[in-house]
Amino acid sequence: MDYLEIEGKAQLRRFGIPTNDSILLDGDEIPEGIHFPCVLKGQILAGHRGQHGAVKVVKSEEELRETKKAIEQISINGHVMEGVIACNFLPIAEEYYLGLTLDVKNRAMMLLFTPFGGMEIEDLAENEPEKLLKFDCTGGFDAEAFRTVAAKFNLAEARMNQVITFAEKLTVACFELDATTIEINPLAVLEDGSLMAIDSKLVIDDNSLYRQGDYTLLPKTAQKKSKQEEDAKAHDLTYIELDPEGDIGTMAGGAGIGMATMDTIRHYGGRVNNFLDLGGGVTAEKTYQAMRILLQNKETDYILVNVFGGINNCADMAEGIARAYTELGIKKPVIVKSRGFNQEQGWEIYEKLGFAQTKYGTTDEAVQQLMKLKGGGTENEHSN
Amino acid sequence: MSILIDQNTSMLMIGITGKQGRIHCKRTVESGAKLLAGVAPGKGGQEVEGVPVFETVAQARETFPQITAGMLIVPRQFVKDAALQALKEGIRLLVIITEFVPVMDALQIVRAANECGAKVIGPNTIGVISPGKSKLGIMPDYIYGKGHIGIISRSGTLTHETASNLTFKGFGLSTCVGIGGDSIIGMNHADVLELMAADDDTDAVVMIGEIGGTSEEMAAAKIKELGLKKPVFAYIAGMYAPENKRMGHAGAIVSGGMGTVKSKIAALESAGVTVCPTLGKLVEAIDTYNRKSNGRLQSLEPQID
Repeated sequence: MDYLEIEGKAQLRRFGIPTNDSILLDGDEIPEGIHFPCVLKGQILAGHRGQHGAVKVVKSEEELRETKKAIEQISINGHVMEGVIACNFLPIAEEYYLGLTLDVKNRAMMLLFTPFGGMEIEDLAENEPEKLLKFDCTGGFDAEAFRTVAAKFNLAEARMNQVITFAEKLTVACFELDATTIEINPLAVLEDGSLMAIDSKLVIDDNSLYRQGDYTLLPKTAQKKSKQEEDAKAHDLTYIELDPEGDIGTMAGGAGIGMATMDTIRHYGGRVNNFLDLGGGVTAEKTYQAMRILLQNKETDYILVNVFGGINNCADMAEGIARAYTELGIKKPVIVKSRGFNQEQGWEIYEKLGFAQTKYGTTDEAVQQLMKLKGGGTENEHSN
Repeated sequence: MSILIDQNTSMLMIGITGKQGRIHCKRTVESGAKLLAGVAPGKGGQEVEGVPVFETVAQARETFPQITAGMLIVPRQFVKDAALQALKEGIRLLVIITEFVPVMDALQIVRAANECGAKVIGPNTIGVISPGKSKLGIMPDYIYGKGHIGIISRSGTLTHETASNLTFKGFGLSTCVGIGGDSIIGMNHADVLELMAADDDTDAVVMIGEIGGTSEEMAAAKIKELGLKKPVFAYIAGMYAPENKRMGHAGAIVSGGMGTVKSKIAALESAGVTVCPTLGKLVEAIDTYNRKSNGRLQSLEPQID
């Protein structure tokens, strides 16, 4: 789960990390405590805010109002602005970068630090990797080890101690918050020599949300969801809209087989309307809901079901699908590939419904069967 | 020979008295695998399908010192403590079936396993099967025929799909390893590949990958490093998946541009791997190779040794 700058900063302060004040500009009134010049910053779940004009210095109330309105209109990569904050204009001497992130390749929690901040950190990593320190913190932050490897930056001892204190606190915050990314860019060195986080980026591992609090401060504009997506979510199903002109609806028991089904249909020249993943722990009720959603989707003319009885059970799944098909009275050609635990019972149920089946064949064969039914469709070698 | 497990592997199941534990205890016993003990705190002294239940791994191993392999199937909030305890008390091959395990917990488990020289498979996996010999996982064993093809896959359902495709088309499998679908897992493609490279029973390897992460790229590097002569066939799922919106700068830096289907295919092809656009095509490629090389990839009569 991604958090906005203002939400991330609130969490940093909980762990004793100094941040600048952020005042939310809510409505037309200008809140107390704002001194000019100040910095307006758009709150959005996307990066490169500066480049998109979502960070601006303003010098008067009039300018603040105009700029706030302009920032509110900005969207970046499909994300919309969730709000605008005002921060005091600070006398900054230098900019550092400090962050922790999950390093999947090395199976580690990696701390990244550079005193050469104030630029795109990806560019620095790419062009001058020697200037970016990567430090393994999986077992906690080892201050003396950090001091040794960071010596190459020739920071004054007092400054190094400040950085170490900051990094220690950030590491604790990272572990306490179950963060997969916690980043301060820039970490400002103010003219009085103190360090301050003047931005924050916080991403919390979705698998840990059950034991984390909800750190939301601003209500997020819900990403626009289709009727089917809302419907599926209410029944704990994953539904993703794909090709709006696709005439094939898909149901799969797992993300891997869902993706493979989609790839295979595309390979043979078909157009996939949606990706519906049942997930694990599937009941007859869940497949009933999934089948209902696919049947009621007016955009699709065909349905391909590709499931396994591993952690799930083929007979239960077939029962739910059959109930939806007979109850709703919406008839569409359905092709099923279902194998695994209780496969024979499942096959029998589908046979009674008159569904076309691939019992021992591959997903390719099920898709080819479907394409034949559609009349046409040849292998699309361009997709190789 | 087969990798990780064989007909002599003695195993225990942690979480044997839960709903999923009971189902898979029954299926494991029916498969003929040597499931000797179960572990469930507070349930010591009970039995599930004739398998005795112990309070701790240590107690189970007092009675059955030959057990060094275990399957963990407990709710995610208990996974970390249960896994760390199992490693501490002598489990050297631990399969973690549970999905949605917090990343920080997985990191600690993987680190602890490395420190004590144990192997962890998962989390979020179907486990391991050496058809006709043993299984330490939750796969339906009758769609896994016995033979000489190894499978390494991140996705559980795609392991089932690939195994059943091959089995139904008359091919056989040596060992199939679901490495798990999470970002932080124990053994990755490269680790398993290294074992299969040295395994007399494995003549060809199938690698199933998917978008994200770097496991496939690392496997490609491993193939080059080993100078692997055995043929490797691969499929990467998610060619047409809608692009994920990503926010953190830091994540993109560490992965260094790896993780797209294109980068994975390029890396694997440069290592001499046959990358197939669909899983059906993968079976065809194996069939062609087997005919040409007069190989022994056909199915052997499935039987429990």
